[in-house]
Order: sequence, then C-alpha cells, then structure tokens
Amino acid sequence: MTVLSVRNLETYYGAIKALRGVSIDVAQGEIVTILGANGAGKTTLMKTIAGLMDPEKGTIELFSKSIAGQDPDRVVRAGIALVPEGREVFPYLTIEENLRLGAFTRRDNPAEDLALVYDYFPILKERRKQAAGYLSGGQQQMLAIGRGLMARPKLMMLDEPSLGLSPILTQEIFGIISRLNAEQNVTMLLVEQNAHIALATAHTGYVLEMGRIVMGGTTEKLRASDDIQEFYLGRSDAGERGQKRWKRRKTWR
Amino acid sequence: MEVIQLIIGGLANGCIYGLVALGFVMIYKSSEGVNFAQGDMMMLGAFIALGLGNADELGLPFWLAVPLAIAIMFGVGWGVERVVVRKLFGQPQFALVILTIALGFVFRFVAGSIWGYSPLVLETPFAGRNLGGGGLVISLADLVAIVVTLVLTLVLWLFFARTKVGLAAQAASQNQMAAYIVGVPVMRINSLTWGLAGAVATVAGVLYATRGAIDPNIGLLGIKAFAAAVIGGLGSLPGALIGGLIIGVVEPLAGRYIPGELSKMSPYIIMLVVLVTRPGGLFAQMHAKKV
Repeated sequence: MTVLSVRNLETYYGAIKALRGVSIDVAQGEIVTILGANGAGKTTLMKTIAGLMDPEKGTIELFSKSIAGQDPDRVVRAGIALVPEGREVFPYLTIEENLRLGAFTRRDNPAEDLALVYDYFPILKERRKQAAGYLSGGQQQMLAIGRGLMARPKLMMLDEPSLGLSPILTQEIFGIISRLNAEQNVTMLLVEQNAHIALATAHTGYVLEMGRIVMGGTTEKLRASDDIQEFYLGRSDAGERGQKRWKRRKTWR
Repeated sequence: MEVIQLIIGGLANGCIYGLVALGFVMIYKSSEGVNFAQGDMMMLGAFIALGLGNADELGLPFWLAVPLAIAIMFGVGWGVERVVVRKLFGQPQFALVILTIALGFVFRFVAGSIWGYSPLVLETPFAGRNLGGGGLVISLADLVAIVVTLVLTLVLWLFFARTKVGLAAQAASQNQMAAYIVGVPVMRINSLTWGLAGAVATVAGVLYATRGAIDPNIGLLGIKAFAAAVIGGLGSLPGALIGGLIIGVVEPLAGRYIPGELSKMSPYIIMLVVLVTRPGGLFAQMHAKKV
C-alpha cells in the first residue's frame, strides 16, 4: 500500500526553483532514501511535504488524501512527523517535556509511546529531567527521533540524521532506525548525505539532482549502478573510467 | 520603622511594575520584539474597569467590572496580534517597535477622548482602608496589590510550566521552527500570548487605580517597567517580577534619602549598572541558543 505519493512537485525559494517536478512514492513499512548532493533540493522536498514551505505546483497525497500546501500542524495531525536537519530540540525544556511536545497534536495519553521511546533510547530516560540543550549532538539526534515517534506517525521523515555525528554514532543511530522500521513497522523517508549507510539501511531509493529525480529503484539496483558507485559511493577502482571521468557524462544527463 | 513603611509601599508599587514587565517579557518571548504599548494597555485596562464599574459610568459591581475589563483587554491584545502584529511577521524587529509605539498613542487618544484627560478615581472596595499595628500603617490597597501579584504570578507559572498549551508557548519561543514541526499552531499561540499580556496589564492597571487617580498618561509608567524587565533579563518571567520589585523598593528609599533629581533617575541607574555588570540581566537564561 502506498503511504505517500508525491507528483510533479515544484517549489520555489523566492525566484529560485528548488524542486523541478519531483515524483516519489513511499510504500507501507518501507524505508525510502533520497540521495543527492548539497543543494539538490532534499531538504526543500522534506519541508514542502511537512508544510513548512508551500509548493507552487504538484500534489502530495498521504493515503490518497491531499496534504499539499497545508499548515504544518495539519500535516502532523494527518500523520507525518519530521525529524529535522540539525535536530532542532527545545534547548531550555527538559528531555521529557521535549518528548511530550512531540505528542502535542494527540488527544490521548502518550505514556505508552514515552515508554517505547525510553526503551529504544535508555540514555534519554536517564537524563529525562535535564534541559535538552545540555545533551551531546548524538543524544539530541536521539531526542529528535524520539520526539518524532511520539506523534505515532504514519510516515516519519528523517532529514540528515548523521549530520555532525561521529561514524560510530552514525552507525548506532542507523541501527536504531532499522530496528524501529523492523520492530515497530514505522514507514520512513530518509534523506542522507552518507550514501553508503543510507543504501544499506533503506529498501528503495531515489537520486535527486538539481531539483529533479534522475533515478529510482530498489537499493540493490541503485548500488549496482555505475553512476551511483562512482558519484555517490566513491568507488576508487574505477580504472580507465575514472581517468576519463572529467569527460564522461552521467547516464541520466 | 520608617524604612519598613517605605519598603512595603515600594513593594506594592514594584508589584505593578513587575506585572507590566511580565507583559513585556511574554510578548518579547513570543513575537521577538518589545511591545512598547504595554504601559498603555495597562492604562486602557484601568479605564475600562473604571468605565464599567464607577457609579457615574455603567455602575456594574466592582467584582463584575474587573473580570469583564480583563476579558475585554484579553480580546484587545488578541485582536492586536491577529490584525496588525501578524502582518509584520518576517519584518525587522524595528517595525514592531514603531508599531507598538504608535499603538500606545492610539490607546492614549482613545482613552482621552472617552474619559478625558483630568485624573479620575476608580471606585474600589479598598479605598482609604488601612491595617495598622506596631507603629506601621499598611493600606489595604497595598496589601491587595502584593497578594494579587503573587497569586497571578503563581497562576502564570503554573500555566507555562504545567499545561500543554503553556508548554507549547514556551516551545514556540525557544525554537519556532521546531514548534511548527511538532504541530504547534504557533500563530494562534502568539495571539494567546498577546491576549494574556492584555489581561495581565489590566490587572496591573486596576491595582494601580486602587492606589491613586488615573489619567491617560499613566501608561508612561511602562518605561520604568521596561527597565524592570531589562534588569530581570527580558526573557525571564520571575526575573521581570523581581526587577519590578527592585525598582519599586529602591524608588521610595532613594526619594527619602537621596537628593531629588538623582532619586528620580534611580531606576535607570540600576538598569545601567545591571547592563554593565551583567549584560544578560539578573536572570538570563543559562546559555546561548545553540544552532
């Protein structure tokens, strides 16, 4: 079943067209990753889906219901939680207050989900009375993911969860992301610069370049592609091909 | 004895500064700008209570007139945010400063054209009643001012610390984007904050009016309250209250023991000293915002 379906999405930053007709699908229970260089439009895509930016054209449907151009609180109520780039926690509130705010749009008691989050991130339970601003970067990332889970989302969007983290912490965070997907059946849309780990974690992937989707498919297929290997995975044994790299155009151009 | 007497009067005065300063801080935290009309909102609130309650006006009972005035001013604060302030979203902070200064003038002219510019007295149940004992005379109005301020501060603290909406308001002031992301309707929270600032200003205005006559220019007291908010750190609710109390207490003491002109400057001298020694104010939040 399709959770999220985006068609021909176009979004502008002022006069600059950041998304030039993006179409993606996210199926129930999957992790879908979006690869792309700096400025490709990954974060813009996330922000547009989350309602933080308004699309100029195109449709965004969650379970076949349009959410394009709605206010962010409506989008959260509809079932999409964003774990933003750079974590964006509430620095002076305690960890527990931060998590409770994640459940702001829910009417029922989030105690069960709080226990679940503490189960996955024991360090947060240990420090739950401390101000979130005192947490380390990795712990803040855990807090941001936990906060997203508190909304009990139908789709969780993770924007660059490895930003500024050490390789070991990155491994740990992605391990938890995989577990959440496998054990709690959380559907995820994952934007990530680290193509290695993103392709290892996700089931399906898209490549976004200059505001366009240029390639898509299962992660096995993407990993096998020469272009992905060369430009995103940085294969070093490119040999002859690598020598002429400066002449070569990517197959999708 | 005389000193204690001065301090009690000063505390009561300081409570009023503190309440107006609370309004400054609440709006500073939500709209990231200073509402220079806060003092005038206090004045307007006092006049609305007077218009509803005084025998020669509408003549409602005092205990009905005051809550009604608070409700009306809540609506005024809400409306100001909804209709005007929201239009300035994304503009430089300075736009809000000019806007609120202008709003202050509007409030003053509105009050002046309805109630005139000569001092009027709000009829209250506490007028002229004193409690005595041990050589001290405490006016009932002073006592009411202190008790009401303490209760109101407690209520506001409970609201911001313990309720879901209050928590959301704190969240919106700390990280607006994250507040949007978790689904807080930030704009509506801002309207609510302005409404609350109007309500708190009205309480301050009524307390002011129980202790003396009011005219449309009493809103200039807002300048001293602003100094109080700056002393407290312009981002801390308890800091605002304590800043108000400091100014309130220092004023009469300075008036008694320091030569005239210098004593009038005392609130601002304190503000300067605080700004030089602790630029963030006495109760600055622990650390700078991390990115």
